[in-house]
Amino acid sequence: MTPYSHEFRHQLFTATALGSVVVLALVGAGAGYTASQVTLSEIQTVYTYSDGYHFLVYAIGSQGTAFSGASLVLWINSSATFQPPIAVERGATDASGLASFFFAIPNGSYLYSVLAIGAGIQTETGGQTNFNSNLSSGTGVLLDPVSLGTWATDRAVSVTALNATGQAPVGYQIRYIVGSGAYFPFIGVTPENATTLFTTLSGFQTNAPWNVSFAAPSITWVEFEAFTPSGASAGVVILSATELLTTGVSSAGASAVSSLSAAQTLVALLGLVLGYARYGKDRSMRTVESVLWRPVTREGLFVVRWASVVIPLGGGLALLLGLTDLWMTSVLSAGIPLGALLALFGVLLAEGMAMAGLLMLGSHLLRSRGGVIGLGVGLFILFGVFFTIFVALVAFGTGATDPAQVLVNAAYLNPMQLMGPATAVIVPQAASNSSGMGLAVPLNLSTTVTANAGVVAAVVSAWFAVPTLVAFVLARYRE
Amino acid sequence: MIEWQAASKDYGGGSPPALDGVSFTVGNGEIVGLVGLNGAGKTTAMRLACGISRPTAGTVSVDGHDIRREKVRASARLGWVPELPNVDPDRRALALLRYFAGFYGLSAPDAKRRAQELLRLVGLEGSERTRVRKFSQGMMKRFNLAAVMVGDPSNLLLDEVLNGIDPQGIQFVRNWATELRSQGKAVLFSSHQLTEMQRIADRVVFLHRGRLLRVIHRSELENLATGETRVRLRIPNLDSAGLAYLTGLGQIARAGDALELTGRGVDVGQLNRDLVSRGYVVTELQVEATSLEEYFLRLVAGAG
Repeated sequence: MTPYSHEFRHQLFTATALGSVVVLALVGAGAGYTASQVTLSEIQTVYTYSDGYHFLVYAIGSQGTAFSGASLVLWINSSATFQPPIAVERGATDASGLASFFFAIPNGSYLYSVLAIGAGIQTETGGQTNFNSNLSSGTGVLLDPVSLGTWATDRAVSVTALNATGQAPVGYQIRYIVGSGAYFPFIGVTPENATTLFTTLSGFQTNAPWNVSFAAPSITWVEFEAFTPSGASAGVVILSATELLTTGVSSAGASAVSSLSAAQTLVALLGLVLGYARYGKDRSMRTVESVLWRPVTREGLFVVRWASVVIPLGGGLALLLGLTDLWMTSVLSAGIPLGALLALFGVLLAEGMAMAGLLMLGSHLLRSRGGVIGLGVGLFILFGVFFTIFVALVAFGTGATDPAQVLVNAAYLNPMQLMGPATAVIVPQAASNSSGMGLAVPLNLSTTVTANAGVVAAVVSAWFAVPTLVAFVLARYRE
Repeated sequence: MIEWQAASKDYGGGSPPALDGVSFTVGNGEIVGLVGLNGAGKTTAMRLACGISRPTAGTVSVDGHDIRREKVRASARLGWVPELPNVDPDRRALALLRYFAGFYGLSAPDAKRRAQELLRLVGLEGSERTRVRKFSQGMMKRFNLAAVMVGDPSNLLLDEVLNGIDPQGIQFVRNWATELRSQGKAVLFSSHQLTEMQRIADRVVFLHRGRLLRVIHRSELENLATGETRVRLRIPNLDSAGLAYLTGLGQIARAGDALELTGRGVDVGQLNRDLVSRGYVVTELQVEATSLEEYFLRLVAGAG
């Protein structure tokens, strides 16, 4: 065994290195579990009258998909409050998330209330049957946006179209129109020739929801409209950019990213801990000299110690993302695409190595154990709390005038927030604020360039490499 | 063999060089003492030799391998006991020695055996699981000796190893250094305990303000020190002829069969040979040269 392989093995099989891998793996398992939990999110209820009231309840899960097995209770009261219910029905949603109820009562105005319980969560909805049906003309269609956005490189939206009996009305068309900028509300009067045919409904609602993706990054709104076979408008839904592309997203991928956001802080912390344990401590206390006089070179020792930081971090992150994806795939039958996994792996590893590199660099300049520990704490607080303020001061000092822009720039430059820019590239979310999205180059923070994969990769690579390279040079030349 | 060739070290910042064109050699089977005031450059010379510092000019080589160009080869043949402990204080003694042993290609079982053996050798048996920070100064010195022996180097740099150790420890170091010499190893030994230096060094290198002041051999030192050498003798069959011979070499003080000869230019080896060839039984011969310390201080005073 060579001195370097001995050193590498020794540094790798330590409590901090192995502990980091285990902690990251546990976070991955936790994220996978969390992201895979389909809870009852909402219920949609439609009704119509035909020899009695027909209610159709559609349960939607937290991932935007049909939620089966929700327990439902539906009450019908007279319009007067505090009256005992006229009728009560119980049921459960089927594999399509649907449950139907029928009340053989005369046509009239009633209060109805639906309670749904699923996965420990309950939700309630209700209303008044003021009309024969809450669907247009009694035979219309309810367009229901059940999923906004997906974990993919394009934006997407899913809709369902239901009639009162849970069927897609045969011969109806659903068309959509998309646009950028502010939506001009011509509800119900969208010219048919200006829309795109989405689907022609032909049968039971067993394959809902229908999905459509929009590759154009500038889309800020989409309008779906249902048309009767004769061309009359039968239902409209308009989705704005905010609904389409931001926090309302309820796809599995978005849940995963949300769950993984904790990993962002953890990785920064582990980078600092590993950087200190594997190199900073020895360097600041000068105990590295007890190794440096042995048959190793300065640069060789640095590379081995650096590798003993990057490998546990990389291995732990691979486990973290792999377990998340595996869990989601096994439960939801849909995981995170490989490209997104690699991008997340890259930015999280770069973040950890940025923090480790900065600490290793600092250990060459601070010759005390307390000083280096203080530096680690300081870096964590700086990037966790004060970095935005710092960037803002520099930006305004160099001519920036838009506070929102400065905030975006600060997020893009912060090594503890590298997931942000990467996620923005993986899943564009900026349609409603496209003018505010971008990346400023550090030397002139008032200059904005468009965020793209290349720019994000450059920033990520810089944080990954620059502190480490400077530390390497110091390790080589500074005594 | 360790060789400094015009080695200089300048830390910059306007201060004079820590080492200025120093050249000397520590040969195999030789103990060379390194003497100088604080800041003379002793530690710097050692740090250059073990590759911790890089010379700003000149070279240092170990068994012919330049420490800069062939660091791994040179370091594999070198051991360094620093003046101040530089091992991780949070590690346990045995684990740390096993770790160090791994740098020399020892397998895990061999490294463990070697570490245990060395701890026994330096008198730290029973401290295998003790964290190094709990060691006393003397124990730490002993541990550092074990840490340097783990690679069985053929060249050793011992920087102020006698500081802070008890008489038993001093005796151990003395015997150990002598043993190393007998094994043909090159030993550079710096210490402020010049009496001890005088006892074991074959040559002494004097450094002052980064410059090499003088290199002297031990026998030369004894004569050069003050020009006088004090020799204690015990000769049971000494007669008047023998006494006359000794009186010719210097001043004699006699108490029974014990004598004290004080004279200039006394060659102790020759004295012993002469006495034996004349049929005298020399039961004791102890050289008490004028102290190296006095010599050194005079040397330094002369250098300004």
